[in-house]
Amino acid sequence: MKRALLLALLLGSGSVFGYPISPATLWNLAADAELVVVARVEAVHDDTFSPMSFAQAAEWKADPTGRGGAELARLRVTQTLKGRPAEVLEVVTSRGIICPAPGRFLVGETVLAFLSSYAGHWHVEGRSYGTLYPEPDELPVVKERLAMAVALQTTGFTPAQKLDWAVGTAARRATRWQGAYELASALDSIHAYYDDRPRDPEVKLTRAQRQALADGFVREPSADTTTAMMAKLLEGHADPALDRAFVGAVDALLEEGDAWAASQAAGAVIARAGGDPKTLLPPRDETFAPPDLAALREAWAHARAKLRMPEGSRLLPRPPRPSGVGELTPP
Amino acid sequence: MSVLVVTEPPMTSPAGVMISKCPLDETALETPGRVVGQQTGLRLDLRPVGEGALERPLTRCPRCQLIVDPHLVGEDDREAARRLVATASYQEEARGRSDHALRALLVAELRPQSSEVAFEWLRASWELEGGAAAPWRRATERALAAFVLLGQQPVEMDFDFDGVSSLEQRRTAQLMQVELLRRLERIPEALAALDAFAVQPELQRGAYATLVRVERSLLERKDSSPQPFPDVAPFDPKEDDPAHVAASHLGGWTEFDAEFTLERARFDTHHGQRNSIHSMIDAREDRPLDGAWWFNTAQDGAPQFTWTQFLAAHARAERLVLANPWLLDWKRAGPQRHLELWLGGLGTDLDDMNRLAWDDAGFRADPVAEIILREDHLAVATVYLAVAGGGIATSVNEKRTLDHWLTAQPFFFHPRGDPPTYLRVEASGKWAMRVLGRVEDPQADALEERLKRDPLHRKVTP
Repeated sequence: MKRALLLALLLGSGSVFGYPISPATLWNLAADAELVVVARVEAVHDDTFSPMSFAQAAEWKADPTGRGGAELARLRVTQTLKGRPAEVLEVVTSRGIICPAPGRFLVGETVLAFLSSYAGHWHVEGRSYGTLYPEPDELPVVKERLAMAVALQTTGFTPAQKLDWAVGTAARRATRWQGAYELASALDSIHAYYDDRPRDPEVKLTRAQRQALADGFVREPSADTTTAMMAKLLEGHADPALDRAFVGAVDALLEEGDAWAASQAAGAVIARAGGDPKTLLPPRDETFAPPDLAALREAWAHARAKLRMPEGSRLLPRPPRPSGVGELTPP
Repeated sequence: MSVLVVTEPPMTSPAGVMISKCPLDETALETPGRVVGQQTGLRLDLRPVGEGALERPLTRCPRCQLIVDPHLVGEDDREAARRLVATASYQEEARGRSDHALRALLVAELRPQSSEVAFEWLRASWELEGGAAAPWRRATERALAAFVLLGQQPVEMDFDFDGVSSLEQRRTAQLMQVELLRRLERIPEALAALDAFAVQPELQRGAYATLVRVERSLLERKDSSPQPFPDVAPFDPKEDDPAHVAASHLGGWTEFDAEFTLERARFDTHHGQRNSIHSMIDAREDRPLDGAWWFNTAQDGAPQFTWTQFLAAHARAERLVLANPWLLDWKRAGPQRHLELWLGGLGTDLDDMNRLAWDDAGFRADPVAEIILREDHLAVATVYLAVAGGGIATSVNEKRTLDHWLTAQPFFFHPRGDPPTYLRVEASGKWAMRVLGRVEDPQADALEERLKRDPLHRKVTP
């Protein structure tokens, strides 16, 4: 019980939800971060403790690890993508803090870290949005989109150039959320609810831009929160290959058991096929309860038959991604 | 001094280059990052020891010599800082190599009451170790003078920013005087200061007794060298902490102590009243309420309630828990579950936000008990209970536990939630999830209208 009380002190009590953070995309991070690196997370260790009393010193001496407070993540830099080249960085992170979600440093993993300095320390820009863990085959894509963003922001850009960047970024699976959120943040309402950046409420896309998004999704379909975002962005865009890709993405989500994303994606794909999700999908109550997966699967099969949707293209499984960072930041 | 103006060729550093600007003259600055490494210990004068565990390098503007530190020099401090850096004494100090000495001058100017003045001079002395003797001696003497002043400050019932009680701050300042006098080879003065310090009865045992013994041994050997911090027993907050001592002097302590343990007490501000005592309490035996968080609100600078009053409030709340067996059912349904009373003064801490839910629930009077449901160490739900039984649950953790309906439900009440939801529970355990319209939401009015037309729509029954 004692442990419970002391920990509760750290984590707070009463309201058990903390306050969330404003989403930051690759575009925002490229603009705001002072230093962007690809690095291996070597270790996470305590920051130097300089006691302000003999009592604190005695406590530290008795248990140097039990003090709580700041930790430093040590990063071995393999590439500096923005800022002056660096080799080893120590970045402030904090144990015991779950909200606002801090940047995550997974020892042994390769991280794409967006950093800024304050009072002599490196900090993560955008908190949980500022530490990304792309797969090795995705990293070149992320780096390319980042380099383009930095170049545009350095030389100056027109709204049309930024829009093109967002389309190109959303077209690639590795950076899809980063681009799609720039194009229509409201389509990710869970994160957009906390967004305090001024964003265009509705971006008008040209036929060519929509085709680029469609081609990208067909080439690299994604089964996650971006499925619904893309289906809504491409509403009315006729393309049989795209239809197959969307159906395949919903199938994959239902197979994985991701009820939230599957429900959103199924609704968007049904609407795209001319159906009414409200009548074809199980009714949702007004709570946070996840949709019933079995009922959802049944309704999806029924809707597919009724709307004569094509056979879905098969999605290659994607390795699980570290939770709590980027678009997987908890609301 | 580790800074370059950016008109020089761009700096590179293995640990990155931090870019900033002097807030006084806009000079663009570049400071190399640093790698701290692992701390391995402490010295007797509290200096960290180990790989790279040196003083934090500071950024000094090469033009005006200001120490650029946004923690210290905020927008409101700029004029005072500008005046200080223009003085001859500051510029004289700037000719030396200690950035921390300059920071000490700034702290003394901008935060004169802060214990940081003394500690900053101490850091300046560390920074100057290994160099010429005179600057080190001068910084150490400045630190000593600041600790003398700090050791004379009155003991109050409050904590400073670093979480050090004023009593502990005073003891630290007094013992640090001994240590600095020893380092300065002023042995007779150090012995006299140690004798004056050691006579305090509460310092005859525990960690301070060890520290006194170590200092005395060093002084008798006339050893002025830096020393490691000795192995000491950690301080016992129950004996050494002024909040705990003050709490144990409140009326009814003996009766309280027979049934409960006071795990931790600290001075805090409650409802705007400084010197309130925040107590974390455990029951000695298994009982319906396993613990309590009690905010004993201060009046005229002192806590206003006694343990006798706490025990009465606790007994009332416990009777209510027994009258709502669903709470005990929840506790029994899983391991590591506890019910804790949250007591603000002698009542609940129902805030304006949760009041919206309480009013919506339609109980006749205000809630009389606030209960936190905790699993392992996480607060999983907050429940307010009505005097006639029943109540509301306004928040639940993201973690769902399917072994009981109370924490299996995905409700969370915030007026701007999407939508705000809470559980209304009767004493029998019959519950309904209720939904309110979002406050300040253009759709809230429409939703409220809809709810008025169709009140049943609010209810989601099990």
